Amino acid sequence: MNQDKAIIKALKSMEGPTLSDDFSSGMMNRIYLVAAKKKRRMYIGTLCLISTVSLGMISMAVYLLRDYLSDKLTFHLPSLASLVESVSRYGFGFYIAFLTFILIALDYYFRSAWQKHKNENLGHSNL
Amino acid sequence: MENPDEIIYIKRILNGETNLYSLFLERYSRTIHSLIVRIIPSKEEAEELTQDTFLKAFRKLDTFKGDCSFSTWLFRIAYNTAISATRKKKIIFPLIDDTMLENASEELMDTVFDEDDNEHRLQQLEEAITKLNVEEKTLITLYYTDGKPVAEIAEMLQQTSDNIKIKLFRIRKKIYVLMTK
Repeated sequence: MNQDKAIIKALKSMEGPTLSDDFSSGMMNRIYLVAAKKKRRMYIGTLCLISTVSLGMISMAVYLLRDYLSDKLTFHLPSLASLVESVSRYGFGFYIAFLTFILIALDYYFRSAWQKHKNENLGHSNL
Repeated sequence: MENPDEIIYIKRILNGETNLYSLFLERYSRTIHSLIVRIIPSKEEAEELTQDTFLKAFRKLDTFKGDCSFSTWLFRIAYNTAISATRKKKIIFPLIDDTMLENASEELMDTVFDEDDNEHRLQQLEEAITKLNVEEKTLITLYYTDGKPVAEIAEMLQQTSDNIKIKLFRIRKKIYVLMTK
């Protein structure tokens, strides 16, 4: 079609300004900065999350040791009283720490599995 | 149009090999820039918007699902970025009466373009193209300059192929009307 040819010709002759020679290098410097910022943000985010969860667990442990286990448990569960009394407070502290460790490990495992699954999906959908 | 290598590169970039992003820059920066420069003719602004496009794409790389080719996804970002820039500028484009477009027959259009070597006609055509609105300029750039198939353009602009075909047909008529006005 004549019009199509003419449009192509006009568009070619209308070619505007081109990109500057240092576009790619300048752009990559900005990309590196964004990547570093992203990494730092993720690190701070993870640190905050872990700190919050740990603090929550510690607060819960302190609360349980100080207010709940000291008298209420014996009141609510009299049959368990002897058993609970026999467990030292230090032992309970270690138990909570162990639980925290397990939860953090599980979190790490599921995050890795999810990331792997996501990457695989990304690959398969276009291959 | 899909490129399996690109998916591998994206995965590697997401895993920390940021330097691989330069491959995408080398591959697409010129075509992205040529699309933006048609919408925003200023050299500085077009270059800035091209940078914005690549930065946005990098920031959102983890959201690329692979349901379309990377170039389609990137062009969509470029188009939206350029559109937002024109909205801020509030550029006014000439409106053409629909009846004028209806009256333009294909035979008439072809006779006008018979003498396609005519310099005067070429100049008129260039002027008519500059008067097209953003979407129309994008469509003809993608279709005529970049040689993108209608289906890919439809995917980029999130419209149907039939819709794109109709729009291309109307753009040809509009160019003719603008030239003969």
